[in-house]
Amino acid sequence: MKFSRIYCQEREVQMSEWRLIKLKFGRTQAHFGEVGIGIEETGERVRSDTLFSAWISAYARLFEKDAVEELLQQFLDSSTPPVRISSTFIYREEGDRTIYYLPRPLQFPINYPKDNDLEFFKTYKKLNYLPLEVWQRWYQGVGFLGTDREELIAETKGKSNGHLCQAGTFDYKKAFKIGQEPKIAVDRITRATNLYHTGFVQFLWEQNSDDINSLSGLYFLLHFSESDRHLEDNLHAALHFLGEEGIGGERSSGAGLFTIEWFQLDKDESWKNAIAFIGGNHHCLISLFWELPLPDGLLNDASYEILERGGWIAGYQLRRKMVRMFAEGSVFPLPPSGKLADVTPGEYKLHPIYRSGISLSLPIKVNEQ
Amino acid sequence: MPASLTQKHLLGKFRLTSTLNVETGLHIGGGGENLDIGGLDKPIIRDPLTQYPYLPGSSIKGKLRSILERLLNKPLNRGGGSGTYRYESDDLADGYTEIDGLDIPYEGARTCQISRIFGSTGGSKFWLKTAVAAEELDEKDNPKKIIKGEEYIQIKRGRNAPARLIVRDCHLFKDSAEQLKRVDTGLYMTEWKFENGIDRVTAAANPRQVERVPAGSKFQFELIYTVEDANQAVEDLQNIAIALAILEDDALGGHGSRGYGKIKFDKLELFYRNLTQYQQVTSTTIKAASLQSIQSFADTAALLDNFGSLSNEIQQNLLSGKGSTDE
Repeated sequence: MKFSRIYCQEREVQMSEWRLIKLKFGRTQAHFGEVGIGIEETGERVRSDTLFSAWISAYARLFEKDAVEELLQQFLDSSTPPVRISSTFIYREEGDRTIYYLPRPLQFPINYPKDNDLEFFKTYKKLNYLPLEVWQRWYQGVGFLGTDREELIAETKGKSNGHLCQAGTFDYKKAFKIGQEPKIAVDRITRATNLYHTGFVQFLWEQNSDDINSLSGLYFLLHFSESDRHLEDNLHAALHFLGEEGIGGERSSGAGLFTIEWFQLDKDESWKNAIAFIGGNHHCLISLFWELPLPDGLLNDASYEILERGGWIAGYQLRRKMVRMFAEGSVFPLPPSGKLADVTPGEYKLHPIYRSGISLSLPIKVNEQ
Repeated sequence: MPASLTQKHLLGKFRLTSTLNVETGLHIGGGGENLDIGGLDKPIIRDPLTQYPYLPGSSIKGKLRSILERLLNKPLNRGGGSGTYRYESDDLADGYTEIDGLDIPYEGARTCQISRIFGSTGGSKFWLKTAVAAEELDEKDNPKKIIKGEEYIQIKRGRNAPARLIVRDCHLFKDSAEQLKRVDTGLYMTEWKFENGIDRVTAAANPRQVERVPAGSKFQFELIYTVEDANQAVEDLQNIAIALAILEDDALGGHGSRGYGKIKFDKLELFYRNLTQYQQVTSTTIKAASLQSIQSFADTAALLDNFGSLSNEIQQNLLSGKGSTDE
């Protein structure tokens, strides 16, 4: 769909530059390493910096050196990167509807009974991800209701059956299973074995005659700073290719393979409203965020969580420099922008290595302190 | 040319699909979580969602690798923990691994038929020709020694070579799953087999139970080979084909010498997609860029018999794709 810029309202033009992409893993398991014993730990989703790195690497393999350097330069040079990428989050299909989970902002929703929440705080605290519908109502709509309170109390005591439950608020963990698979190394002569375990996440699927249907998986949002058909096609091709290579660990043993579905966001009413929300006074991160120095006033009245992001350089047994980044769900009074962090370790001289701290955020409304 | 200043070449991808037939009971162990009295001693691995048995890609890939290492007569230069040794390139270039006081020669992953297919992680404290190290790596002041009349330098960390081969997890065909659901063994979709050890003097018995995927089950098998060097592609695919044929005369999973794990591949089909097709994949053309079937074979014997004509076809596909064949 191509809008003519002149006749269109500013907001609608912006809307058309948002994309939602589903990663469908089918029956494939995935390993997204987390800190733990060996490779036993796995997360259920991929964060924006990892996705960015994997995607750009696939881009480099598909379009080769000059094209990828040109693209990276655009991220490095300008204060408005050509595209912003969110972290991936869980989606779950239930009948005709799709529940999209978003990180719960780290500030209380409007009307949240702060001094009177002992009866349900334990349940509330566990809700790290909210279905889009609830997220929107709490942070962009009427806020926290008396009925929410009643339902959270009911859920704390046993099982609730209200609107929060029907929206899938308490079912985040039903969308995937995390398990461990035993693996062995076998000696080539004596057949002696060394046993270890690898953690895997499996998303829901169903069999439709001979096709495998993904009932849950990961999704993320893309925001282009301006319409760029060429860049979008190339990114699409690179992501498709990445799906055949796999994302995360244990790729060559068949883990992390996916297919993609690429949507325009303006087709979905609730997403459209969530993005175009005007009455916000804060911004909630849906990606990681890093910038140095931080813009003035960013941390006034902010709530945030900080993650350490380290890891290895693909192809070399060297660790990247560790950076601390703001996590998804962090809330700032200004829209965060973010930069690529140079994480090239001292021993590595061949080319710079970046980690994406470029952020994507959504406007929300919270009580001003 | 330092390997990291340009991308690893990509020409396209081959995909081989097949039906993996289980011909004798097959056991790929899963971790038993609980110990029940009268329960299984050795359960098999299952899908966490459906509890269907499946064959992990890593098991098959590991087996193919060990078969090829043996076929190509590779030395054992890499410790895998708990006294397990196998072969793996320490670097992209040739050199020597120093292990248990021995200097074991390895072939660099750029040319090594094993490491370039299955991947290798760089070794530590191995020996590389000083001349090669000076050109490709930034290590000059490390210890040096003479091996077979040439000067070698000790390298702290070698370079990795990512695998060109992806072996996917094998899942049951739908019909096969339906059939297995109806087996009446007391276990879901599997059988138990009793194994017994008997004392040679007292005839005391030591029975144990092993869970197996029953003979007759059919799994969907798929592997993907990334073409990075047109000159090596035919050789790599041939090695993979030979390894598949040997695997049929070997065993997959545990207790192979006792008859477990005989498998057979049939309905083999080869597909290819080149770089240009990948570059043009967008929302509108995704169907047009679908995989193109090259040839199909009834079984591995037919695949090996006709490998000559297949390799011609592969060469043609490589030439018609984007990118020159010479690197």
